Amino acid sequence: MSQQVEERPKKRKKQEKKLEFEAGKVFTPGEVKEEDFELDLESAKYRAQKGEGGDRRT
Amino acid sequence: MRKRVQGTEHEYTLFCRKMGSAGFDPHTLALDLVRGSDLHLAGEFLVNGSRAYYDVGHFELSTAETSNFHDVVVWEKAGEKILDWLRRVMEEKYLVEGAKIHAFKNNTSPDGTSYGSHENYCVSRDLAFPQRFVRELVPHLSTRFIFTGAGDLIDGKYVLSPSAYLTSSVVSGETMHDTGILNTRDEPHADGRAYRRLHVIVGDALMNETAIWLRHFTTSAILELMEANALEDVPQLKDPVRDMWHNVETRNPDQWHVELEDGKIVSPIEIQRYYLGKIETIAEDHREKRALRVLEEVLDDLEQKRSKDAARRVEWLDRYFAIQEAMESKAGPDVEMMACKQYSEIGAERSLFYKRQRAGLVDRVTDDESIKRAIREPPEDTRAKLRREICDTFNIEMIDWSVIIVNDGTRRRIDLLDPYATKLETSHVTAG
Repeated sequence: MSQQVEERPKKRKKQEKKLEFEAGKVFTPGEVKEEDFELDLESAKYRAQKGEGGDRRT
Repeated sequence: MRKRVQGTEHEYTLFCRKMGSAGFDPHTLALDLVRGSDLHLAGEFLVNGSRAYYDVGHFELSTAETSNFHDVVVWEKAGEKILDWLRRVMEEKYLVEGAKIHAFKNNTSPDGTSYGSHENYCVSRDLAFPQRFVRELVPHLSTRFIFTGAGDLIDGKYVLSPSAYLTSSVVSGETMHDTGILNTRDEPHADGRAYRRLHVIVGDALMNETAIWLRHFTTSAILELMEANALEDVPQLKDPVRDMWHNVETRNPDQWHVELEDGKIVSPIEIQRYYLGKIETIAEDHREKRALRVLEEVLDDLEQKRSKDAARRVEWLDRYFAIQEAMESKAGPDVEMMACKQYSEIGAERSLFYKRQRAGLVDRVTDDESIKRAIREPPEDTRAKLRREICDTFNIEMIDWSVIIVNDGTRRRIDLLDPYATKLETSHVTAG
């Protein structure tokens, strides 16, 4: 048996302007020019913090 | 197959060379941005049911509760796109022109530091833990990397699965050191009398949609077979960690081997064929039968060493080819590592994976329109939908996966103990 919660006070609407998701920024494969695609040595040098990954103990 | 609530969580690494230790942290900045955006729902939750938070130096995203192996791919990719959007916003708003923020969906940085990507599956509490899981699931988890491995460079070697390579034991409760094939963490985020949340940490962060799809198809099907007591004849492995360590360093399928308890040596492909035969008995609808066919083709391609065909669905193979191509086109000591890591960047304009997907070299199982919808909406058939409805109705004082406290003057507590529920049950509404 299902039942909706009885009281439904109006949700307060926040007035501040929100950053709006723009799908066009990340779903535009046509805009990627393959001739401009570069291998980037920065990818070989980044550092990361240890997270929830293993470290083999032998 | 029955519905099975499942999801994934990823620790994404963001890196900007211009942001030193004195600068701002892109992980926390990305979180600030998303919480001030129209994708924010309440607390750490987003409108599509996912949860975004900061965890040990990473931007972590957990998908919403999805009910099947297909939806988990769609919502995982939606999360990836949300972070990619945040990355681009940060580049435009906070960096000088030309400076970049890299966002990696992988499991190790070039110096070998590891971070996690985990799967979660809702399973019956009636299954004896860990005994049944060690006997019936571990043979799968320790051999599935042949088609679920992401590939990586660790300790100067190319390994088929970084998470499998970095695993230390069969059973463990740890998630950062001495990790196990089977993790014992017991945080159900649901009614713990009925459900266990199986936390799988031996899987890799994957870019390839088909690889994610097959991983969840096989693993959720095997859990269903376990609940039906249909795996009593599963092959028993003598030393799964030892064999996994050997196999993940071996690209030639002819040299893969697994020792059974009776001393017989078989291939991990044979172990997976055992499960394939069992899954065939429960695959019912069109999508499940298609996944079964794809799995069979992948196993055939691996066995026959049709590596170009297999690479369309198997990430460790495709990454390997991408690295080889990079080394042919560019010289230098860091090219191999660069290509290995750049494959996993989520930005389409610099990701080697997305370059190859655009070129039609890898198979997809979903499409951009479905992913766009999953950025704005939760799955329709799980608790994520209910959570969204409550948040759209009330002011929220506190929110977590299985409980919400609404601020309607009485601090009403709403328990969401059934991850499959899309409507409130009377017994779950209690005064706080």
